[in-house]
Amino acid sequence: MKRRIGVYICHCGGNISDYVDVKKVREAVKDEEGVFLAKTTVFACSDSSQKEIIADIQENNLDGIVVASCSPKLHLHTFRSVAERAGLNPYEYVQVNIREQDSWAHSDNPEKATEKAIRLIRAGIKRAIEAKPLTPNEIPVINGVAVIGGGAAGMRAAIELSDTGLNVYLIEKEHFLGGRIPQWGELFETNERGEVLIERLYKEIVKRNNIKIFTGAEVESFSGCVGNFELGVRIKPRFVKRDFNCKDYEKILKECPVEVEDEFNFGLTKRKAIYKSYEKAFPEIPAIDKENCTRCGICEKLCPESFDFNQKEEKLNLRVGAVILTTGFSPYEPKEGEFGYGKFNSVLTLQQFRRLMELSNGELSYNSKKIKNIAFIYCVGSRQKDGENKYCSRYCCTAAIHTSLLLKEKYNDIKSYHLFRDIRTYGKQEILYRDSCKNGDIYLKFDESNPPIVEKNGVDVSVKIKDILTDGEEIEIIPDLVVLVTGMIPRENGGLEKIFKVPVGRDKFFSEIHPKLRPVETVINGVYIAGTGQGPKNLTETILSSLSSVAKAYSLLSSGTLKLEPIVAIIDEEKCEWCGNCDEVCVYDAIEKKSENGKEVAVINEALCKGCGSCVPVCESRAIEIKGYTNKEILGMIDGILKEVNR
Amino acid sequence: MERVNPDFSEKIKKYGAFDISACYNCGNCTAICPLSTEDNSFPRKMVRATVLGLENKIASSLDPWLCYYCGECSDTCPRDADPGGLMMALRRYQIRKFSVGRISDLFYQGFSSFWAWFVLTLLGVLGIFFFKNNPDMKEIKPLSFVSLNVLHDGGIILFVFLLVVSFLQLLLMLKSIKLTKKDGIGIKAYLNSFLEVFFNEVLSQNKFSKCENKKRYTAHLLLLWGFIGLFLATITVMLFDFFFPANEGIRIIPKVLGLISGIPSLYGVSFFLWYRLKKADKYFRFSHHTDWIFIILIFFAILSGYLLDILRWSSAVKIYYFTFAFHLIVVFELILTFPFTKFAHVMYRPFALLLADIKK
Repeated sequence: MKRRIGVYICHCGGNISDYVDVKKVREAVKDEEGVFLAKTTVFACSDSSQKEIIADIQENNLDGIVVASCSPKLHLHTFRSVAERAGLNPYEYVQVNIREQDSWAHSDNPEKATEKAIRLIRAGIKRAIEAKPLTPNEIPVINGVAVIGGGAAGMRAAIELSDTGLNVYLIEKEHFLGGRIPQWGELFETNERGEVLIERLYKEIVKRNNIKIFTGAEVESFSGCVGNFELGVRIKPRFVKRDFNCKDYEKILKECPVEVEDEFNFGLTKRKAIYKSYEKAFPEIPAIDKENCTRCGICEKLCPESFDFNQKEEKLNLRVGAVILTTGFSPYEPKEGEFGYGKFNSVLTLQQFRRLMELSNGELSYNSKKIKNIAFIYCVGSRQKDGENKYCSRYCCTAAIHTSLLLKEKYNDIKSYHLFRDIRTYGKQEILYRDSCKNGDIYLKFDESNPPIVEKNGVDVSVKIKDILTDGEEIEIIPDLVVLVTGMIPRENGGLEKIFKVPVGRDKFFSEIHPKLRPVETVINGVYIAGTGQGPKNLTETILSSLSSVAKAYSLLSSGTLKLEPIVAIIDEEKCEWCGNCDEVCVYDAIEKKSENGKEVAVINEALCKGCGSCVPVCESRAIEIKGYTNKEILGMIDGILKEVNR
Repeated sequence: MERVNPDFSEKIKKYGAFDISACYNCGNCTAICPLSTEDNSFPRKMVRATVLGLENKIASSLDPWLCYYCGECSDTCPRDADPGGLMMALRRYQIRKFSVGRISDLFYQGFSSFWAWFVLTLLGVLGIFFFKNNPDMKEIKPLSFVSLNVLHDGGIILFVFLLVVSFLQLLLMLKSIKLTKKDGIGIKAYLNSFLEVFFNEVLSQNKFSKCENKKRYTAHLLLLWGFIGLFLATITVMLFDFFFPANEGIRIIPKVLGLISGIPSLYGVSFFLWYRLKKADKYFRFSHHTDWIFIILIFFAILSGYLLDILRWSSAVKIYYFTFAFHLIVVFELILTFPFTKFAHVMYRPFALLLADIKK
């Protein structure tokens, strides 16, 4: 059957026609085999041109169109929809890029650019001749999202997901929700307390029936494809019953013989084997730390109804349509001796210091010494030239400055010295910096190559800094406390990046697809990232990313089904001899071995396949093709390009 | 190596630098300053030294005296830290710091300064009562009110006191500044520097003229010249009375000089008094009480001196003697407190300019 293909050559308002002789191009392609009509147009993407193309298709019964214009990144979908509106299959449309790949690139040589345009369009025509109509695969999706990490980002995401009608599984590794936020006390900008915000989120969560909380739970396995994932979750026993109601809890706390470092207070205090991370921690029942409990039985004796030491580790499988990873951060732990950390008593990290402030009553003292002068050393473990952490954690400057404002407010007579490299109090946080300066806080600037030196000076610690702002003069401070302003590193998450196959960057945070345009998506379709597990953020930014991950998850699952791009690999079972080469190179795990009529062949999971084409060249029996890029189409394009152009 | 002293900037606040801790070291003040040079960049360095409390650095700096408080730095400061105000405050701080035997403490510390002034004024009033003669009520004869001997001896005592104290204070300044060996140069170079500073800076106020706002420069220049004229007039009257008591004709010289000089000085001093009262500009927002005392004393000294010159032509005998007494008391106070109030800038600034010139 003779093909009836329409070819449109776009001027792009001069962007193309200034360098490419479009009339000559039209002359050269209008009589190609299969071409029914060829036209030039000033702007192919304009409304009137689109209408003209539709009219052409319908009046002339065209069975394929080629538009030679800009990059498919810009208008592929525009013209696919033109084809669809005219009654063609969208995949019977072929876009040829003669702008980015021709006129712009060869503006110095119009003659050759014209020749190249002719060759490219001929290739496009050949491809259009071989193109087959394709239809997207539609698969049903599971109404459920697993949110992994029960900190502020995860909690906020859970609430929002629940309101869209999706079922939510909130999975937290620790026995208590809230993550790092309750450790902080007053937060900057609003001066609200972290634990109060967490309480608000928790109360919203328990109001909703479609959110299931799992604490002490870790993801062990992950399989399936977008819309249909399966998670294996392992849940630690809490040994405390859900209806915990023990009047003697205070007494138990006193009598429990086990004392371990309290991680919530960064080792400043000890806690018992039975504990709550903080007094108003959620869920409101305590937990027993399985690793450290000696099973002495004191607690069970006092409140037999409230404990159950027969609880075993549980395993369960969850089926969800999408996953949001909100695994959060840990503060960078300075190395032994880094600015005197771990060497001198009076050196703490900012996070430890904030706990110290929270634990202090009335007077701020440490090691029974009243604190009057505090030296904050900035960028500890951040922006390292030689070390691993090249990045800026962007919350720490403001956090340190806000801390000094709180000190001024609470204790008035405390003097703060800020030893910084650069101050990054961006946006509204700048006001805090200004206030701190007005308070009389003293700022000294050092260069990375000349960091401050913390050393012993009698009973005190002395900090020496070559202050750039004072002509690099060496200046000495004798503080009562040195506070190291440390940044964020990703929180230990039990190797989730391996389980989910979500890539991490050099900084070890989860990587998004595109930092600007697709900031919460990962290369795994249906797995999203949010909060500080993706990179350092303050709480505002954390919640922003958490909500955008919800929007992405909802737009994926809301219709109940999922249309998948039909451009995927296809196996010719006749030819396939199962050598396994394709399976080896497939990064998406989309190829499985299957027995078909007593023969082992490769089968493509169309939900996982991205149509990347890696498998095609490694197939020795030429049994694999990519729909929309079949061998016939590619060979035809090569013929089209190679055909001589008459000058 | 110096140690940070956060209390210092609190101390400097008492001298008039209230917002200096707001500084975030952008350096706009130095960039805009028409007087700051590459070898001598201020006010940023002084701001920094104040914030960190590097007292030695400030005590040994000439920078405060090289600043004329154009105020362009304060207008440009993005944090409203008022660096110009700080330089002013540092001048007050240095005046106090360089004073002999801490006499200036009397005039700088709140309540004690009130008593110091009270006692001083009382001394002046008592002195007039004690040393006054029976004045000639028919005709104005100033020397019949206070004898020439009293004026002569009193004048000499005051000027000796003034010279000794001023000399010692300049010596203290020199010691604080710590000229290095390298700067120690011959008499000839000193003389050259002296002539350069005297004509190009003191008399012409060249540096001051670089300020964008010329009103203060003009008023200050007029006040300076007028004051010099009035001062010369007073000296010549006394000298003529002493050397040519009989020669009436020659007295026309100081009279004319006084009358002419009175006009610019009155304009100048009134300008500053009015602007300070009105707080018209940023530069007059804050006046330390030692500024007030200086400006008020000099205002009344000039006003009364000028009146005396005019009254000499009239027959208002009583008013004349009364004004004369008032003038004597004011001048007595002015001279005695010269080294401790804003008046001291008359010696510190040229001396600092001289030292800066030598250092260069």
